[in-house]
Amino acid sequence: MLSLLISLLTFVALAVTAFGFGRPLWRWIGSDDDALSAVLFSVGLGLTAVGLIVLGFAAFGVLTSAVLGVTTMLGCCWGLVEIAFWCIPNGEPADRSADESKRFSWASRPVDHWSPPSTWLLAVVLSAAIVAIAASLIDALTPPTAEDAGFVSLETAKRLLVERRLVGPPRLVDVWHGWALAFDGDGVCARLIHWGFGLLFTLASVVMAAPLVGRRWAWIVGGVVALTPAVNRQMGCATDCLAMAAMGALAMTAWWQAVLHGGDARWFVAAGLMTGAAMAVDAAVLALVGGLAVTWAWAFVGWSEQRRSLLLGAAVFGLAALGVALPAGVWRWWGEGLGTTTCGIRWFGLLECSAWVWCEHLGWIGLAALPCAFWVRRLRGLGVVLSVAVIYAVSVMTLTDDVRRLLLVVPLCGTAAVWTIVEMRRLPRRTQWIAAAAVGVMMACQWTDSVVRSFDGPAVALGLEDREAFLLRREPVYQAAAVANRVLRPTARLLSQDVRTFYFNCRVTCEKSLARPLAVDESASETARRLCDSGFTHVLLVDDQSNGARSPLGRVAQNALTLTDYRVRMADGASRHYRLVALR
Amino acid sequence: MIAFIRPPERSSRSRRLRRVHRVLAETLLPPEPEPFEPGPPLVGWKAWLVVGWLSAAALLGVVHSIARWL
Repeated sequence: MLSLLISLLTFVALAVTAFGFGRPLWRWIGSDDDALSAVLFSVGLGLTAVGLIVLGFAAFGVLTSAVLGVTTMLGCCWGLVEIAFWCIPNGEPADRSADESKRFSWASRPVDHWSPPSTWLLAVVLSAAIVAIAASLIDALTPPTAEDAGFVSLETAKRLLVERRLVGPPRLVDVWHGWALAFDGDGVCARLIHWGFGLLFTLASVVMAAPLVGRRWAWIVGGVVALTPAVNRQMGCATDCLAMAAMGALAMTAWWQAVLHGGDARWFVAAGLMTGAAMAVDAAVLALVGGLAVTWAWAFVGWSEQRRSLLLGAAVFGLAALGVALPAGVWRWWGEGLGTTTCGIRWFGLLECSAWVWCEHLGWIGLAALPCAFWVRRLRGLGVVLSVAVIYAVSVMTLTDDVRRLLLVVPLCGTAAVWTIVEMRRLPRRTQWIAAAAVGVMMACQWTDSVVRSFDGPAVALGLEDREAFLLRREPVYQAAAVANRVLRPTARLLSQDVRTFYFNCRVTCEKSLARPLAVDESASETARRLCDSGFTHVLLVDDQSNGARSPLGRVAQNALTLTDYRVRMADGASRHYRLVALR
Repeated sequence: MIAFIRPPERSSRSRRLRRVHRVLAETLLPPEPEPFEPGPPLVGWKAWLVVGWLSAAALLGVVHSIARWL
């Protein structure tokens, strides 16, 4: 229970720190708006600033616990001061009319021109969304295991902390995970950070949809986004897709405000900074930049009187985006292309996804609403939103095969879906009820897919089970890591056949990443001597008996001292034999 | 304690001046947003196409959810 509280408190402290760093930046940018967008943009900018600061520490080789601790404490204290100033009234009577004008400054036309959703609809959708978000929180509170898609990111983050310097150019999301790992080594806080990105993404969808459909309907869009199964599942594991989607959604929000709603030029700065952060997380955001460029060109051609400000805004946007993205990722893309999942150009990549994948990642409601966009009345801005969604989806699936990158499209489809729901009032009474029932059933299906999952960790998430006992039960490599952490010296170097090395405290190198692969015809003693010469002191051997895979490294066990030897039965029924041996 | 009943105060503006104020306000201030017009009703085969599509999607969703958890 204590470790659970520590993880939660650490997460809250890091969120306050991000707010503390971001709030002055947002004030400096000077875009006045309502409380929700101010909080979201402050947190987004703060996370970007923290990521770049930590990256700078790593670049200069000063990424120590003390430096990180002092920086975080300063940011947290300032965040508390900002929150106090926010909450404590300044003694002057509140000017309600000013508040109202601020709220409506989001839209260039009166919003809620159509009747808002009924209170019971809002209550039902938001309650369902809150339950789904709570279910993902239970997932996020379990210690990370190898089944998580985000385990690789945690490995990179841990290496950043162990080496205290840049080990290859990391993504911004690895830096954030490393920041969380520095204060909560179990990795739970890193998962909570990612869960927080899911929350940021959901609320950013609300802010993004508000100028189009009105604030109350925008909350329904937020509910639809939170109930999308893929979004909800990704909130429970520490990957990069939701971080990219959250930053991308904030970037799109600022961009709409700047280009479509004739907002202040300072919105371009916000859009550029958020786009840069998203690009530093995942290069796939370049596809989004392509979509935004089309909207810019459309505005440039159509509004001749604003061409000068649009040109200036585009320059500011580009500079701000590059200013954030350059330190974090450009050299990485230069060397590796569009990330590890790049699979070459697939011209029909979007069509290669199965229908179930579409439904999982875009949600039933969003997908069903797309064809309905042809019979609903034209909503100002919706066509642009859907154009960006199509351009982004086609581009990203042409260049990569990772469908999780489609998550950025979810709020765009959700907005179209909600407009379809608004327009359902044009149907005759009887068909209106049938359509409403169909939408309700789809929402229930999404809710079921999000909430009803094979929970294996509520006990550990609620603090009723020890984290070590949970990991011994769930994580195959954890037993070897526990032994190694007790027996091995900090200077030991481990060569592992298993790529999941997150729980080892010493320096670990995977066999796959060896500069020179081991020779098949080498004798056991020669292999052991070569490894000792390379600085390795211990080897973790994994014998997968399901496929009978044998590696030249397995021979070193003949002349080595075995520290632990155990077998694990995996979820798919295969048996794995783990041996931790010391080289002699 | 029961308050004394005060006679209604007379407005300082005359009736004609109030009328001028109202005309000016109606001219200068933006009009009240019109009540929502739901647009022309969608009837006939178009309505049934939309409802059929949404129902089919909902049915697929149910089948998918059941198949997933069985």
